[in-house]
Amino acid sequence: MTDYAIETANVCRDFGRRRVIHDVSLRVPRGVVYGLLGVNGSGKTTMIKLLMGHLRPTEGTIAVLGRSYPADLLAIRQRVGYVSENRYLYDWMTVEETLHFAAAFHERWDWKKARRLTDRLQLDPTMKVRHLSRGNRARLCLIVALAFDPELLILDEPTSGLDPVVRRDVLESVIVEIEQEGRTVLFSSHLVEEVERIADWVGILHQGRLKISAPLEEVKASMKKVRLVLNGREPDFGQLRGVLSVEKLASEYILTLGEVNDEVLARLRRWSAREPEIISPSLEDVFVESVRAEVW
Amino acid sequence: MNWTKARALLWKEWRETRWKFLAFFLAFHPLVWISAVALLVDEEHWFTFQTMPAKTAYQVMEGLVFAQSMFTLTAGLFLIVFYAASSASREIASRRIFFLLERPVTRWSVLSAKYALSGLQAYALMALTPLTTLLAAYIGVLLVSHTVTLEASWGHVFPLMGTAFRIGLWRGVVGVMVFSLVFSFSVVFEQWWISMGAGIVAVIALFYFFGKSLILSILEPARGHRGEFSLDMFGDLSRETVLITLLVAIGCFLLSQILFQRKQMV
Repeated sequence: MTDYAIETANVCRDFGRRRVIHDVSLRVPRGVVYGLLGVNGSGKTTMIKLLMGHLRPTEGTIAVLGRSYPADLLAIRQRVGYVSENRYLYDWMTVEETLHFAAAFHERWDWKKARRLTDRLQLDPTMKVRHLSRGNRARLCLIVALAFDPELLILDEPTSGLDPVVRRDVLESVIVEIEQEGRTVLFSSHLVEEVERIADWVGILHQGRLKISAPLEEVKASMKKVRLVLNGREPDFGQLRGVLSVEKLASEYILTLGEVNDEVLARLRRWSAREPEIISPSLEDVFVESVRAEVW
Repeated sequence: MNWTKARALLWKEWRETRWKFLAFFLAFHPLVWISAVALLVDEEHWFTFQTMPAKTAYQVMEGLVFAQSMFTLTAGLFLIVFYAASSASREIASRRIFFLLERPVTRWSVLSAKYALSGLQAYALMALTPLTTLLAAYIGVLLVSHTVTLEASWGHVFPLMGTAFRIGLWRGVVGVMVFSLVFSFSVVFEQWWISMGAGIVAVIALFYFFGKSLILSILEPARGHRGEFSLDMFGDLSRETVLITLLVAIGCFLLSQILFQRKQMV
C-alpha cells in the first residue's frame, strides 16, 4: 500500500488552447488534513475534478488510494467521499430519499452513521432538498460523503457561502473528526485562516502551478519577516540575499526574506537603529508572497 | 450494474418523469378530448350519441382507432420529439447529474437507466394510445348510448381492441426510433430547445424522404384482394421496416452512450 492517498505526476490540463493546470506533482500523505490554497481561478476546482476523474489530464498520471483512472474509477469512488463546491443534489427529493438513493450505490453505507450525522447536524429527514438553506445543503452533502466511511474525503471549497456557525461547528469539526479516525481529507479553499486552522499539510496553487506542498509548520518556516527601523537613509534592499518584498509602514520597514542567516542579520543590524525584530510569518504572509513574488 | 443500483436509478427516473409522462399521455388523446367537448357543449350531439344505432357506434370506434393511429404517426412523432428533447439535457445542463457521477456507478448505467425508462414511456405513448382511445370511446358509449349494451357489443369491440393493440405495437417501434434519435441530440446539446429543433428537422426529413414508403407500407397490408380496406391488417408493418427502425434506434442509443462517455463536463 502506498504511503500517499493522492499521488499525481506532472499533471497538465488544457481547455482548448489554454493550459489551466501546469505540471502539477501533488502528494498527499495518508491520514492528514491537506488544505489546497489558491485564489479564485487558480485551478483548484479543475485539480479536484481531475482527482475525482471527472476530467482527464492532458498529460501526466493520477493515482488515488493507489489506484488509477479510468480502470479503477468505481473502486476509487467506493472509497472516496466528495463534496463539490456547487453541492449538487436533486431538489425534489427529501433528505431521507437522498440518503436512500445515495445508499444504493455504496457497498459500505453505514445507516447508523448516517442517522447519527443527520441528528448531530440537525437535519429534518422529511424536508425537501429545495427547501434547505445553503448551510443545510452543505450538511446533507457532507452526510452523503461520510456515511460510507470513505478512506479519503475530498471537499471543494466546503465553506464557501456558509455562515461562520456552519463553518466552524459543522464542517471543521467533522473534518477534524475524520482526521482523528485516521482518514485523509483534502479540501480546497481561498480562505487562508481556515486552512491555517484545520490543515496540517498545505499546498498553494497559483495560476495552475503548485507553488508549494509541505506540512504547515514547514511552509510557515520557509519564510521570515523582519521589522526594521532605519538609522539613516533607505539602503538598497536588493543587496540582501533572498529578499522577497519590502513594505514600508511609517518609519518602519517590514522585509520578507526567504532565509535569515548570520550574514543577512549582520547587514540588517548595520542599517537599523535598533535590534531588527524577526517575526514568524502567518500562512497568509507566505501565501501572499508566494502568489505575488512568484519565487517558489 | 447490480439490481440495487438499477432499481435506484429507475426509481429516480420515474419520479422525475412521472408527471411529464402523464401530461403527454393526456396530450396523446386529442380525439377523446375533442369528442368529449363536442358532446358536452352541444345538446344535439349528445342526443345523436345517445340514440346512435349500435352498428354506427362500432363504425365510429373503428374510425377513432384509425384516426388515433394516424395521429400517433404524424403529430405524435412531433410530441415524441418534444418529449425526448429534455430527457437527458435537463439534468446535464443543470449539472445535477454530478450527484450520480460522484457515486460508484458508470456513466453507461446512468444513461441506460434514463434511456430505458424514458424510451419505455415514449413507446407506451405510441403503443397504448390507440387502445386507450378506443377504451375511452367504448366506456363513453356504454355509459351514454341507449342502443349499445356490454353483452351485445363485446363480441364486436373485443376484436377491435386486439387490432388497436397490434397497431400500437408497431407504431411504438417508430416512436422509439424517433425517441432514440432525439435522445442522442439531448446528450450532445445541453439546451433542450436545440435538441427539439434538431429533432423536428429530423422528423420532417424522415417524412420528406421516407414518408411515402412509410405510409404505403402501412396501408398496403390493409388493402384486400378486391380493393376493399380492412382495418384488421392496417396495423402491420413489414418485417424489413420494423428491423430497420429498431436498428436505427439501437444505433442512436449506442451513439448517445459513446457521446456521453466522451463528454467532459466542467
